[in-house]
Amino acid sequence: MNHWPFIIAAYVLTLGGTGGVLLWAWLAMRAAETKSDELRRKR
Amino acid sequence: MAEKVGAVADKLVERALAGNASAMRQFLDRTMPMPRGCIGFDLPDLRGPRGIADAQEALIVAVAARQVPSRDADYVSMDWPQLIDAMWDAEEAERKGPSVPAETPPAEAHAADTGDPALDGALRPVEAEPIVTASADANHEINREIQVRAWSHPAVLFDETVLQGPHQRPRRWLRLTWSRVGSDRAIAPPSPADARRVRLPKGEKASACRASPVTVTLERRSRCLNSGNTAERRLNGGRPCAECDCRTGRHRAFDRGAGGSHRQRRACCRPITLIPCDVSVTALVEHRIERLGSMPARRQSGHRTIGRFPFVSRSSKTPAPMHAFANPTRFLSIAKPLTPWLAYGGIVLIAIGVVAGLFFTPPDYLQGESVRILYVHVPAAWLGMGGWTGLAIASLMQIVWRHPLAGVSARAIAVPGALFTAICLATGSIWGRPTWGTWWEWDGRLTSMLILLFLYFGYIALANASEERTTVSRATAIFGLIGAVNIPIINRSVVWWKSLHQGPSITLKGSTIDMAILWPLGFTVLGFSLVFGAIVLMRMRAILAEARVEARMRRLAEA
Repeated sequence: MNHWPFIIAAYVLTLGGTGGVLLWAWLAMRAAETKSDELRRKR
Repeated sequence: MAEKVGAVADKLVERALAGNASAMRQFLDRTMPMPRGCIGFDLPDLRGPRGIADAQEALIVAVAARQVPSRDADYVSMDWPQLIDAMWDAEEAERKGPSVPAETPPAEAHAADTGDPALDGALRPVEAEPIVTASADANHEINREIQVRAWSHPAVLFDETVLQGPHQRPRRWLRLTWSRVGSDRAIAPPSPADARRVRLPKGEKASACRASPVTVTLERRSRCLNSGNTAERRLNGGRPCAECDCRTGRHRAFDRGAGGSHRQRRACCRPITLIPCDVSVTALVEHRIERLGSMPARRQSGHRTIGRFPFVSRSSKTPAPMHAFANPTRFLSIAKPLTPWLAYGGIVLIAIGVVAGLFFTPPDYLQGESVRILYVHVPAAWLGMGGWTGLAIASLMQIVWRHPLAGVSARAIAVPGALFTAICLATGSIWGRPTWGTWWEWDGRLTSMLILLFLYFGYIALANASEERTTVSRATAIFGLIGAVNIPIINRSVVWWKSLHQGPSITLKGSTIDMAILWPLGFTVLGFSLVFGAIVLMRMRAILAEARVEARMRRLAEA
């Protein structure tokens, strides 16, 4: 049995999931802080 | 009264926004000069050389004073997003720098402060008449009963509506503070008995108290020059040498001219000329909130107990280390620079570990190439379990110490923890197909890990069920704590229930894996851990920023 498809699938899943949640957390943080800063400037 | 406290808070917020930290401190010192703060904090804790930090904490206290009537309340109701909002304002003020020199004379600052007549009317406890002034004539009177009209004193600021919830029973105490007339500096009371606290009538609202003045008895004790032997009296040189009880029958008999032995005369007092006569007695009302009813009942009644007031230590001038990091500014000053370092460092380490694991390590003699899944599967399992451990610790901090950021951190941990648990299960399943010949086996390790994933889902659902975004409910925190029972079960499952999953490979005693295969695992475990930390910090920052927006919008709407 060729193990590499399983290995690739595991790595893609792990790296993709980690990268995805990292990107999502960063975008959410940036959006929230940008909104907060804009509100501060408007005041 | 609540409006007055709110006015104080608003004024302080405005000062923070203007970057006028020193004036704000002076303002606070002048308007609330009591040694024991009238809105629930020790002013000496707020003074000191720490500059803006003091002003920020003063600001927090002032904002919190909207709902915090007493520092003696063990658990206070406060609006944490509003504190965050105020803290950010203070942070902005600090960045702008002070606009008024710190050497501004108090008189000038006072002139600047009195621009708002309405506010001036609310903030004049210094100039207010003392409730009782014990004059020289009054010193003749022993055990004189006085009527302390505490509610008429501007220093007595309390929010009756907060304290008078259906599930709270306020206990009010009257504490007498002695100071010299014309000075806000406290002096020691003539005797410890005079510093006693007087229990206010039970079950009466403040409005009811306004109609019925509280009568307290001043127990004045004076100092004696005549006690002791001749050598001691000479040594004292006319200064007070000891305290004696003026209330004794001996003394009263002496005053009435009933005489007495020489020994008795020695033991008696000459109170009028020997004690400072220009003392004033100030009454402060203390509150103790007695929590009644169950937590759901209290929540239903609108009372939200979040925690002990986190920024002012009751026993020392510096807050406890754990609570020091509850300060949003302090926390963010660490989290903001730390986030990119964790993220970039983690990505680099992961890249090294993955490349090494895929291309520079030999295949296992038994499992073959599939052993390379180890480098992503183990970090995922570690973070799934470690995430819940961190979540449980945060839950414990919330339940026991009521740390304001504990709920935020627990909420931030939940999603990445669930993700890595799912990754662990998926990669394990993928690894099992070529190794075991099956995608899934209901053995102890896999099943307990699946239960952990369900626990994460349950925690996320419970946390999101609450309207509060900056904390989680007590039930959710308890759930997080109880769920930690599963962690040691996962760890020992391969020992207790032997099945397809291999036994513990890496223990404190060493590793059964050859170093030629093992070494990239250190990089990936550390790298994924750093990335996990970065994700948690990002989520915490996002939650705090959202809370601040919510608080600001609410304040704008109220304005």
